[in-house]
Amino acid sequence: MKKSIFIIILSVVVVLTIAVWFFKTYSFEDVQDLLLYPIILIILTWGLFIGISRIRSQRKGQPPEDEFSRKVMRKASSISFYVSIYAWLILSYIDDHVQFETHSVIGLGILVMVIIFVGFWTIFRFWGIRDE
Amino acid sequence: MNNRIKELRARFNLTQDALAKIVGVRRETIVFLEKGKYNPSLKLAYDISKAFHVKIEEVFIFDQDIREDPRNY
Repeated sequence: MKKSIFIIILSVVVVLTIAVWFFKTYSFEDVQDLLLYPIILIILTWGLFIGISRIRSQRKGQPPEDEFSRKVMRKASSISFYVSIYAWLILSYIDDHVQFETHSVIGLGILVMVIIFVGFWTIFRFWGIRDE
Repeated sequence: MNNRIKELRARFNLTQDALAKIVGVRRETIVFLEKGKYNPSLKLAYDISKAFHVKIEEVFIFDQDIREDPRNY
């Protein structure tokens, strides 16, 4: 139960930090920056989904995480890391041709990594892991 | 790999939640096992077969019926 509450608190803190950083750094005129809103929403939804499903399992007398959930997390982490390398490569290539500020590139890279991880996690969580 | 978890669960009149509790996993894991979307670890396969009082090979069935016998080598 403590770990589940910790995950929920951590996800809320992360989202709040991103929100504060977003409001301090960007202006609302730039439409491109508004893309951050759905990303923040994705992170928040994902964190809450994990936290709530863990609490629900514990209430039923089941473990908050088991071999399947751990395997989904491990596989999503490893594949998203692998794909992120290519994402950073593409970002650095774009950065060579289009002038971005350094902090924008780093921020964008981290957000891309988050999207890739959440994407793969969702795929494995709802489609399952076969042949392993 | 196919399995007979759903069939055995019905025979023992167990819900997915009850089986999950017995073998120490989450209900989602049982759902994915029954759908054939997840292959369990050896320990979980053993625990499930133990819950139904049968052998592992009576619960989990491999698709490849024709296998090369290692004794031929």
